[in-house]
Amino acid sequence: MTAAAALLERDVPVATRVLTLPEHTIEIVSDSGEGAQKCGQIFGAVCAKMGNGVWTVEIIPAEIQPPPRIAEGASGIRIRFATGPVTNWGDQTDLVVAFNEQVLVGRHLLGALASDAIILLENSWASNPDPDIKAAWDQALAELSGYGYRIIEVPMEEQCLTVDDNPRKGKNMFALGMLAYIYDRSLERIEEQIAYAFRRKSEAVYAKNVALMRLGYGWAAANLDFRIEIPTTPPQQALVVMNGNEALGMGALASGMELCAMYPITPATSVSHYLAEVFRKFGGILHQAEDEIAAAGVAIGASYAGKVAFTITSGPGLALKTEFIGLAVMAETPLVVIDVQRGGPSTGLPTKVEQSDLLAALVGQPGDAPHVVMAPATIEECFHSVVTARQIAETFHTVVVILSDANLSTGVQPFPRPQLRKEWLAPELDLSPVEEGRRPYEWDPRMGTSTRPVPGQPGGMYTLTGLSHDEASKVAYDAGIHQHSTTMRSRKIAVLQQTLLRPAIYGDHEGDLLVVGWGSTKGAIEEAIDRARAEGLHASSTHLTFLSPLQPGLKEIFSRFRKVMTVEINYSDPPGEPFITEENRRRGQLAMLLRAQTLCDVDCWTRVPGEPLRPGLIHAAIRDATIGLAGGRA
Amino acid sequence: MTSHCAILPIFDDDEREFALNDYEAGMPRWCPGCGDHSVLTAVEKLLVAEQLKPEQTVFVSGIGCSSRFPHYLKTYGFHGLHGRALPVATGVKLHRPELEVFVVMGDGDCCSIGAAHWIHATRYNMKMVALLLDNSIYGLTKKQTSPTTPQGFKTNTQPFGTPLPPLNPLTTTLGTTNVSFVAQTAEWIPAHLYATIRAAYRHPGFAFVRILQRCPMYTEGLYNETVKNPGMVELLVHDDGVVPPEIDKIYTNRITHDPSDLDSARRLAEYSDRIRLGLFYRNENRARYDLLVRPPKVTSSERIALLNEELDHYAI
Amino acid sequence: MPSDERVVSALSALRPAIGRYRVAASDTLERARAMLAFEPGPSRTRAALGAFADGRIDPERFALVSSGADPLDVTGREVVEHIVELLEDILGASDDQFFVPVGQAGGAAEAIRARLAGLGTAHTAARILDLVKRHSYDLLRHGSPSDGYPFERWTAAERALAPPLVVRLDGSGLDALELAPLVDGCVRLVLIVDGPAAPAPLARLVSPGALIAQVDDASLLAGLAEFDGPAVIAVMQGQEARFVHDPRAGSAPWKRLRVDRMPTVPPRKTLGSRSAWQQRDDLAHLKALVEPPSLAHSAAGAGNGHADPTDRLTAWLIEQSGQAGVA
Repeated sequence: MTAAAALLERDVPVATRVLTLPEHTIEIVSDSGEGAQKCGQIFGAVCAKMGNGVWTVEIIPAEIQPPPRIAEGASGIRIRFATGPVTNWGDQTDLVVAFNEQVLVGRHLLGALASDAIILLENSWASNPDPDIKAAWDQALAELSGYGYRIIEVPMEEQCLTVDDNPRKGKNMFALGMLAYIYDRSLERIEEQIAYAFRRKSEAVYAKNVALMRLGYGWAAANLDFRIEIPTTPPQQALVVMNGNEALGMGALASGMELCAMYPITPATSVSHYLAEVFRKFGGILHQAEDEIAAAGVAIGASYAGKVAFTITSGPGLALKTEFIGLAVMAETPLVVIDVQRGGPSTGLPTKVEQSDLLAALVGQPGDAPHVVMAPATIEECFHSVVTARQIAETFHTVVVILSDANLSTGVQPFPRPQLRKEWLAPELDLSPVEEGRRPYEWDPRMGTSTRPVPGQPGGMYTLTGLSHDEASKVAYDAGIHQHSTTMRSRKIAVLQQTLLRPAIYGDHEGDLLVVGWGSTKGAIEEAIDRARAEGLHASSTHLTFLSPLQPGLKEIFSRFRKVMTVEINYSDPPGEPFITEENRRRGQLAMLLRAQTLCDVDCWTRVPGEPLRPGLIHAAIRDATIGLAGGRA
Repeated sequence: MTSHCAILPIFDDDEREFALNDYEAGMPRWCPGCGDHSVLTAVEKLLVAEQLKPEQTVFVSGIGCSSRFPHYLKTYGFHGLHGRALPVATGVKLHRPELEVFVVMGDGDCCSIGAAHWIHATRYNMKMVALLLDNSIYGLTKKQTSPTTPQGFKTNTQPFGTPLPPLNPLTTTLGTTNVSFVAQTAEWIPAHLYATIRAAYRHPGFAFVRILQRCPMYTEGLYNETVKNPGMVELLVHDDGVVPPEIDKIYTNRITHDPSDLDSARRLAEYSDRIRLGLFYRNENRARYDLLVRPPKVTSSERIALLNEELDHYAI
Repeated sequence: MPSDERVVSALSALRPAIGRYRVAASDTLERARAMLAFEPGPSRTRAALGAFADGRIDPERFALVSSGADPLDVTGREVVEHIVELLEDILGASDDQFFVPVGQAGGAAEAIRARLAGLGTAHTAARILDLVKRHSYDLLRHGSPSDGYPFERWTAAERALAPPLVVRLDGSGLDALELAPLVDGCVRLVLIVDGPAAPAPLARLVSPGALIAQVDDASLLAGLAEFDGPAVIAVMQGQEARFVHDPRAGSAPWKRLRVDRMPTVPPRKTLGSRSAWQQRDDLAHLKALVEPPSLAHSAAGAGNGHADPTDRLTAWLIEQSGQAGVA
C-alpha cells in the first residue's frame, strides 16, 4: 500500500469515519458506452483477488445505444461483495456512482437503491449551459431529496479534463479510483487489473487510465469523510473468476467436444464469442450457421458422424430447433443443447433473465421425445455441467438440454479452479469394424440403450432415419415396432433416472415450508431461507438440477413439509387476481411439472421482473407462505 | 524384417474391390418409371467406378420420394428432415472431412423449405455433391405445387393452375456468391447423367447438379416433347465441359460454352424454349469453407495444457 | 542434427508432414495409454462424469450402463505396454530419424524402405491396438509390434500419413525407377544429392498426381506443406536440369510442368546405372512433357491435317479418361 500511503499523505481529510461492514453492494451507472462495466469488472476482480466473496452483474439497457441521459437507458454494473461467499446479486444498492442524474433516477424508480444509499453523482450537469439539462438536473435532485439518500456531488468531468480532453472518456477510471479509496483496495492490484483489461491497447492508454484512477483516488481521499471496510479472508484455494457464458464455453472445451454450431442470439452469443477466440487451437470448429435450424442440423450431422457436438441458443432459437431435437431423439443421436434463457415469449426481453423455457425444453417436440434437461445453478456449475451433459448424451445416445439464463450468463463470480481430468474429454473415435450382424439400434431390452456405429466403421453401415424404424434402422410402419422403439427410447431415460440421487435439502429435512427452485435462483433462495430461519420460520429449500428425468424421492421429501412452493422466474397467476380461481390458475412451470409427477399440491411464487429475483422478495414470499401453517413461528 | 504375419482382412482394407452388390441395398420402392431409379443407377455406377469405400461414404437426404435414396445404398446414410439435408451434410463434412458426402434432395426439399440452406451451402463451397432430383412436384404427399412447377400446371393445392412462373434453380445457384459448380442433366439420358455426376464428384467443392425428372404419377407429361424429340435439347459443350461421346449422334444441338464463364453461364441458364444440359459453371479456385476452418489435431494432453492456460487467464 | 545445411533446411520444410506423422503416432500412444489406464467401474465413471455429477449421480449405477469396454487380459496388456514403449521411442527421438544418409555405397531405395518399415511401427501399433481391443490379437498371426512394417503393405490411409524423409545420397546412386513404388499417398522424399547426377533422373517419376522437382535449394520447398499427394524432390548441385512438376498448376502436363533450366551439353557418359542414351532419353521425356500439343485444344475441330497423330491420340485419351479439367 505504498502508493496509497503516498496519495494519502498529500490530502488527508479532517475526520474520516471508517465503517466496518460484512458486505456492501455498489453500482456504477452511466449512459451506454461510458465504460461503467469495465470499471465494475476491474473492481470486482480486485475484490475477489483480495479475498472477498463477489457477485457481479451487468445492468444492460434493452437498446444497444439508447439516447443519452434517459432513465431507461441506465447501463452499468452491480457488484455485491462480502467477507463471506456471495451467491446472488442481493437486494438493493448501498453505494452508487452515477455519471448523470437521469440514469440514477432510473435505478431509483426500479427500487434498486437502498433507502440510505450513498450516491456519488457527477455534477457537471448542474452548470450545463443547456437550460433543459439544467432543469432536468434540478427536477431530479428535488425528487431524490425526498428519500434518505446521501448525495455527494463529484466534479468528475472537471477533474478528468485535467488528464484527458474527452469528457466522456475516463470517468470510469476516476470512479474506480474513488471506489479504491473508499474500500481501501490495493492499488497495485488495481493497476495490475487495469493492465490486464487494456492488454490489447498501448502503453499510453494504460498510463492514462492509471492516471485517471489515481486522480479519483486522490480526490476521494481529499474530499470524502468516510471509508468502508469489508474485511477480506484470503482464499484458501486457487480460484478463477468468469461469467456463466465463459464458464459454459470453457466447460465445452473441458468436455472435449469439437464442434459447436450456433446462430447469434442474445444472451447466448457470448459463449460463442469466447469459443471463437480459442476453439480452433483446441481442435474445434465454431460454425456460425445461416439460421437456428441449420445450427441444430450441423451439430446433429457432426454428432452422427463422430464426437458429440453442441449448439447454443436462447428461447426463440430453441423453438426453431424443435424439429431437429425431435429427430435427434428419434434417431438416438447424441446432442448437447445449451439454452441461455431470456424473457419471452417471442422476442420478449432479449437481455433480461427469465426461466420460461422449462416446459418448451422438456416437452417442446411434437411426438414422444423423451430426453434429458438439466440446469446449472451457479457459474461454477455452468462449467461442470457441460462435461456431465456430454457424458450423458454419449452414454445414452440422447439429447441433453442445459438450461442456463441471462442471470448466470452475465453474472461474474469466483469459484474453485477446476482440476481438469482427461476422463472428461470425449475419447477418440473408435472406427474399428462393427461385428458382423450387429444392428445399429440393437436395444438392450432392459436398459433401452443401443449401439451407435459411426461412419468410417466398416460393417456398421446403416441409414439413420427420422421415420419410425426397427433395430436395423429399417423404416417400419408396424404398430408393434413403433410401440417397442418408443418404449426403448423412454426406458433409457428411466434408467438414467435410476442412477440419479435424491436432491439435497437446504435446512431441516422437515418443517412448514419447502421452497423448490431450479437454475440460477439458488443463491437468492438459500439466502432468503437463511433469513427466514434466522427469524424462526421452519422453512427449507431444495434445488433441482435434473428436470428430466427428475431426481428421485421428491414425493417423499415433499411429504415431510406442510407446504411445498416453487420459486421461479416465470409467470404464474397470482391467487386473488380477477378471474383467477384454484381451477384456472396457471402455475409456475416447475410447479406444473411437480404437480403432475408427484400428485402433491405444489404451490408457486413466481415473478417476471426482467431482473434476477432479490432474496428480500423471496424472503417476504416465504413469510407470506408460512402464515397460518400449523408450525408457525418458533 | 519378418513377413510371416497374416494380416486380418481389416488390414487389407485397400485390397477390397467393390462390385455393384456391395453398394446395393434392397429394392427401391419408387414407382415404376420414376426418374429416381435412373439417378440411383448412375450413382451406383459412380461408386463402383470410383471404388468408394461404403463405410467412408455418407448419403444425406431430406424428406420426399427422392430422399429415400440412402436407404437403397449400403453406405452410411442420413435420412433426416424435410429441407434440412444440407445442414446435416455440412456437420458431417466439417467434423469428418475424410468422408465422401453426397446430398440428395427433391425440389420442394432444396428450393422451398430448405432454400436458405441451399444458398448458404453454395456459398460455403464445401466438398460435397448436391443432387437436386427435380420432378417439379411434391410426389410423396400427392401432387402439391413445388417451386419448380410450371406456370399454369394444375395441382391439388393450386387446382386452377400454378399462378407464378417456376423458380429457376440454376440461375439461383449461379447467382450465389462463391458458387463453384453448377450442372444440369436429365434422368432420361443415362450417359449424360452419369458423366455429370462423375464430374460433380471430382469437383473440389460444392457441386450442384440439377437433374430434370418426370414423376410418373403427377408430372408424367412434363418433358414429353423433349424426351421424344432430342432436338429440344441443347447440349453445352466445351473441352472442359461434360460431353459424353455416346450421345453425340442423338443430341446434335450444341452450344459451345466455356464453363469458366460465369456471365455466359447465367444467360444460358435462363429458361428458354429448349432444355439446356451440361456443365454451366466450374471454378476450382473458390474459397472452401471446410478447408478454411479445419482445425489442427490436438491430443488430450495438449487440450488439458491449453485449458489450464485458459484458466490461468481467469485465475485470481 | 545433421550438420549439412541443405539437410537442415529440408527437414524444416518437411516440418508440417513430420508433425502430421507425430500427431498420428501420439494419438495411437494416447489410445494405448488409455487402454492401460482403463479400469471400468465406478471410480472411472465418477471421474468421467465430472464435478457436476457429485452427489447427484450414483457412479456405481451409472457404470452399469456406461461400462462398454472390457479390461485388458494379460497378453493384451503386455503387447499394449510394448506398443507404448515403441511409440515413446519414436516420439522421443529427434527429427534425425527422418534423415537417411546413404553415402557412396548406394542402395538408396533399400535404405529408404528400411527406414519406412521402422517408422511404420506407428501404423502397426494402431492396427494391433484394434485387434487387442477386439480380443483377436495373435502374436503368431499378426506379428510383434516391433516387427517393422514394409511399405508395400501400408494401406492408403497409412500412406497418407507416411513420415517424410530427407535422404542424402551420391548423384551416381540416384535411380528414380527404384523410387517409383514409393510415389503414393503423402510420401515425401527430399533427396539431397552430392556430386554430379544424371541430368533429369526424376523426369521418369512425373505423373499427374505427383509433385516432382529438381531444384537448387531446399528453401524452394515451402509450397510442399499444402500439397496433398506424394512428392519427390531432388536438391542438386551440378548442371542437371531444374524443373518443378506441380499437379496443382493445371490439368495438362505442360501446364503442370515448369522447366527452369536444361543442361547445355547433352550427356555422353554413363553415370551410375544410367547409360548416356538413357540420360538423353530422360531429357527428351522432360521436353516432351513440357511442350503443349498444338491440337489438344481442338481435337474435334477442323483443319487438323498437319497435326501429329500422337498429339491427337493424347488429347483424345485425356478426354476419355475424364482428366480434362479435373484435378
